[in-house]
Amino acid sequence: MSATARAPARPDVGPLELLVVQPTPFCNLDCSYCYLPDRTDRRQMALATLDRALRWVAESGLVREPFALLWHAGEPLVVPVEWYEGAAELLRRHGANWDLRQSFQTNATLISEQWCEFFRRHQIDVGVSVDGPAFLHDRNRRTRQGRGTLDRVLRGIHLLNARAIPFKVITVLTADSLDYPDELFDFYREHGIRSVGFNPEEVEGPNTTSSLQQEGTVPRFRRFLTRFLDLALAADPQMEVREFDQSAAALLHARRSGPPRRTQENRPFGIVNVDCEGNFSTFSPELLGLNSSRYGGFALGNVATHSLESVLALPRFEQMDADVAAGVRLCQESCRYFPFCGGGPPGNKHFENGTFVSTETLFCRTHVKACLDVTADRLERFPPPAPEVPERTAP
Amino acid sequence: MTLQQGYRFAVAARFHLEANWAARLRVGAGTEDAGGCFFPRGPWAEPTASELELLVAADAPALRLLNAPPGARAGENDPSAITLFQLPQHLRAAWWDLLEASAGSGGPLRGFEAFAARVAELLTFKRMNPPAGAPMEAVVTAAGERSIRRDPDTGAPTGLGPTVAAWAPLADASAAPKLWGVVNLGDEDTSVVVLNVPLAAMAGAASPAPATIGEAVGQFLRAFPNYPPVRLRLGPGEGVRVPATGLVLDGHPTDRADPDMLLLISDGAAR
Repeated sequence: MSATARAPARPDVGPLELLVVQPTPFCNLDCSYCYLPDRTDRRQMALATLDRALRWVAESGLVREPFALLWHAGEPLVVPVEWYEGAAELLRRHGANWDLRQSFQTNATLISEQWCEFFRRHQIDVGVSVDGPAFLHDRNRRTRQGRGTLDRVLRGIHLLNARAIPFKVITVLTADSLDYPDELFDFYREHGIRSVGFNPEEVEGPNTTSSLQQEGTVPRFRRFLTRFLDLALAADPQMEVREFDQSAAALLHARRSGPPRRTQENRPFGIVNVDCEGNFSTFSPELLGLNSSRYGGFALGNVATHSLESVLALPRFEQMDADVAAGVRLCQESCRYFPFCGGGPPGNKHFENGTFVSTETLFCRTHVKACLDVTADRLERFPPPAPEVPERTAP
Repeated sequence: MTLQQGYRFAVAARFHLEANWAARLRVGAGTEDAGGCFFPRGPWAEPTASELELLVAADAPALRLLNAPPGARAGENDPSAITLFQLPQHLRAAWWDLLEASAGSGGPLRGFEAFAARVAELLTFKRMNPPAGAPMEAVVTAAGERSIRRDPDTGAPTGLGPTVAAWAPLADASAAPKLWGVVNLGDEDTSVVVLNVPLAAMAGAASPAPATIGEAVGQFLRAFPNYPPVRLRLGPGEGVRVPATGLVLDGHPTDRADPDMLLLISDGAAR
């Protein structure tokens, strides 16, 4: 841990698990379901701002465990590699003792030899957003001129494969995608994709509706996931499916240890989100940059001017924290999935229900409940092998 | 006799494949009676606009532009349409793995039942409603043959025939064993030939009134030798589901360079 680290101001604050840094709000694509409000804004974070942000983290007392640094919330590869070389130097300076994994969530259209070399040298985890074959991907993931982007994404993916840079894929599932698990499976195999995660199209920020809100979507989501898992887990080599791994872990954890602590997204400062100007927020990353009639902006302060202690004393933070906690209590009281989930993400509650003090969302119905049900069903049908017990030898 | 309104072609809901009907369909000149066996007769021509209108369902998902996205809500399959679908690549690869593993053994294909079960799982997921425990068989026909149907006694090609058991009484045809669909298992294009006339309409047009499905088909083909057959090209892994009410169909390996490999999916055991 950094020499400047201090004890946490409140034991229920942090520890930091995820630091989301927005090098730029700009994205070179214009996906139809995007939640970023400022994706045409070409501002770029100054390295001096990042310097202050990392110092803020180091001084906050929030770093008490290993954590992840995610470059996201705009297309991170729009910012030149040289900027990240500077960022790496700052990380060495501020976080010499941090147990940190860096990752990029990218649309892959700008991946070059230079980026591959950077990813390899800094052991960066790469996440690629791609929605499957052209008839699914190009429907939503388009340029501002309305052109499909799959060709460019695949060029990036092929470069990662050619340079043996491991990567994972996130696919946004719309209502249309749910009919095509076989086609998605074939697509991943054809392009050397070994690890996938599915994000249901969510109601977030400017994306005020989701195709998954149609009636009958949840059973279709379950059928999709069941079919996809049958294919992915029978494949040779097996395909990693994030939803299965996470749900299986949650089922096992709950059995062994009881309900989880408040989750990353609903524990204050489990996540810290920093925008390109140094403004920061906590709870769901999608809240940063947005306003609410109840709290004003979700940004709580700026790394240049607001310490963690000063933010914790803000009445609007106290209100947010109390509301998120009340929402978690409601989940606990009303939802039988709570022991495995720990409470729904506050961002989804705010965008769908208008308040943190609420319970079920579309995200809960699909990404939590359906995934847990399908995983539990699969574990019943195909129980994992029991661990081998070493044979006792006679003394 | 010109093409009449009858069964139409459509792409199955929940499948995304290029229909391009004008390139996929060909209309023949009629049928040829070869001693009680009927074979389609050319020349084969691209369908005219009015023929296409008769042959392709107006609201079929396949009428979307090529590569256009699926609609907000996938339509359901019309049970009275000849419905085009496609096995995904992983199932096509599984078929070739099966063939490779069995190459040279000369015996039955080991693992064929498991392969057939996987095909049925796909069709069930896609809500194609394959019959429960549908019997499936792979039929291999030498390149250049005129038909995939053979006389069980002589081995001679028998040509066009009904997809519902020929022996079935017309009055009770719905309970008879029938062909549910056909899939091209080969790695090159093949074709099937159909008459778009429902079996019931053939029976209605026949005189004297036939007693069985086979009699109705024979009488119709003898009475209307110039009724145009329609040839449908099937790419690798592509298949068609035929209407349960039945039609006249045959494979068309005539123009192929390699043996024709079709998966026949039945509804009910053959007699």
